[in-house]
Amino acid sequence: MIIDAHAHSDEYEALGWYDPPEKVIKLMDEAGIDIAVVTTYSEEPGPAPSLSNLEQYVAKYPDRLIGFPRMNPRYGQEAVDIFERAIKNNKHMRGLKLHPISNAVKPFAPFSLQLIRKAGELGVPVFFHCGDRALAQPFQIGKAAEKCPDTTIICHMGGYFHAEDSISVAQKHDNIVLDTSSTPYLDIIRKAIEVLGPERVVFATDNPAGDPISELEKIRMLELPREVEDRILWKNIAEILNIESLIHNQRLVWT
Amino acid sequence: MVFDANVFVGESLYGNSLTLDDLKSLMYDSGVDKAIIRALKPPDLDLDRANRNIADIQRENENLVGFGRINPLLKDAAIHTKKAISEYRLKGIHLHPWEENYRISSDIVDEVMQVVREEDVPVYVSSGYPMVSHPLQVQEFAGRYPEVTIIVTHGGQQDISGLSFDDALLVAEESKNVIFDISGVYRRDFIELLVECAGADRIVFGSCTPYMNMKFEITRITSTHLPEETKKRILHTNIERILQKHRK
Repeated sequence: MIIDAHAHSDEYEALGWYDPPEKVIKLMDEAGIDIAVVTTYSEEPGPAPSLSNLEQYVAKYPDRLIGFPRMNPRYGQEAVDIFERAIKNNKHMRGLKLHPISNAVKPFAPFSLQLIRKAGELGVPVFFHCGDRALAQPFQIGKAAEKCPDTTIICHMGGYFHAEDSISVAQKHDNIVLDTSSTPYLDIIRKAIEVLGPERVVFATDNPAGDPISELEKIRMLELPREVEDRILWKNIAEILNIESLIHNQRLVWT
Repeated sequence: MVFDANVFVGESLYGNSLTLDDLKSLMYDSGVDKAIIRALKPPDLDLDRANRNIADIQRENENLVGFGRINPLLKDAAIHTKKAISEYRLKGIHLHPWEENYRISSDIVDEVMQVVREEDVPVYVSSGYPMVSHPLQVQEFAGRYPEVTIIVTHGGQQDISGLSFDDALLVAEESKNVIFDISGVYRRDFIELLVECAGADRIVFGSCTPYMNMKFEITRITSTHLPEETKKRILHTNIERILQKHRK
């Protein structure tokens, strides 16, 4: 059983990025990934139909895809209200995606915090883009985690330049979980597992940008004990998303 | 056959030293047959001594090709460049603007590059580092030396947001003397686009060992949807051709 905690699907004209869900599913199948959390490239509110695209994708593949609406905190309460409705009205939506580089709102800015707190109230996690550039550095996300202790925050393992920082900040804040996508450093993943414990690391690919086959191979190459590998490959994220009881024969079955 | 064009070896200021024996084990475990080696930044900062060590290793190991590492900020950088190539018989020069703290686009590199041009050797640049070797800084550098073969690391960019890809692809399209290694490039779509923009002859395999994982970096290439012939070029024939072209 394998769950990818972070993938993308969108058809976003502004960036010229066209990754319909069929492309994502095909790559999942190639790699042997059963279920994926998907988010868009575009943000809601915004000029592109970000949320409606995501709703269509998870409706089309309800047994394979779980949605994280990607919100733009600049819209303040309007963004919070849209996000709340999206989660409450659609059982396939189970989290929030924030990408501070897209919208130039820092993780600890008040408008970001109100979205993060709302996610906590709704019992869903927040996924942060994390690493390499100002606006999305681990310690900035740590400030948000400190101010929103009731929200689980999942973030990248710091990209190329902030790998060690991501582990340090996760050590300080118990509500931070690190994902394995994009980091080229196998030793950093191993260190994160050792330092934080296997419960706080989740497998992710950034599919279709990231390559699911090599991202999975990265985990296999660590040669982890079976129970640790299972935690990272699916159990941790299944618990965070509260979907364990919905998984039957490696697919989501919604009641 | 697998030829790794980007391996650092020796003692390291940063604590990631790699001995020759360790390198040989890594290559064996990873299925790498040949490698271009250059010095890690040594704790005593003596790059000339480190280059001599690389030359010794090259002399005694026919599957290892040595590049000299030069810090252009140092007063005698041009002399050391000449020495590395003519006296130590190293086959190229490595510049690391991030670890040596200079902008690759600045004229501080000019004296070194004049020697590189005269000696007709390739230059390898650690690229994609904030402030010092972003893709368009590398392009500015490459544009000043159009007759020099310049190999850049990390597909020319390192940024998981993907927002530097377009810049690197511009370099691929416009700067024909730039060759790309793809160490650490986690995005398969970028690797495939890079091949499309630069052409299959301008991409080489380099792992950036010991900073990155040699075996895993091979997986990045083998798991792409590129034709097998293209993978073969990336994994060894392109770098062999480049070294052959500059062979004295």
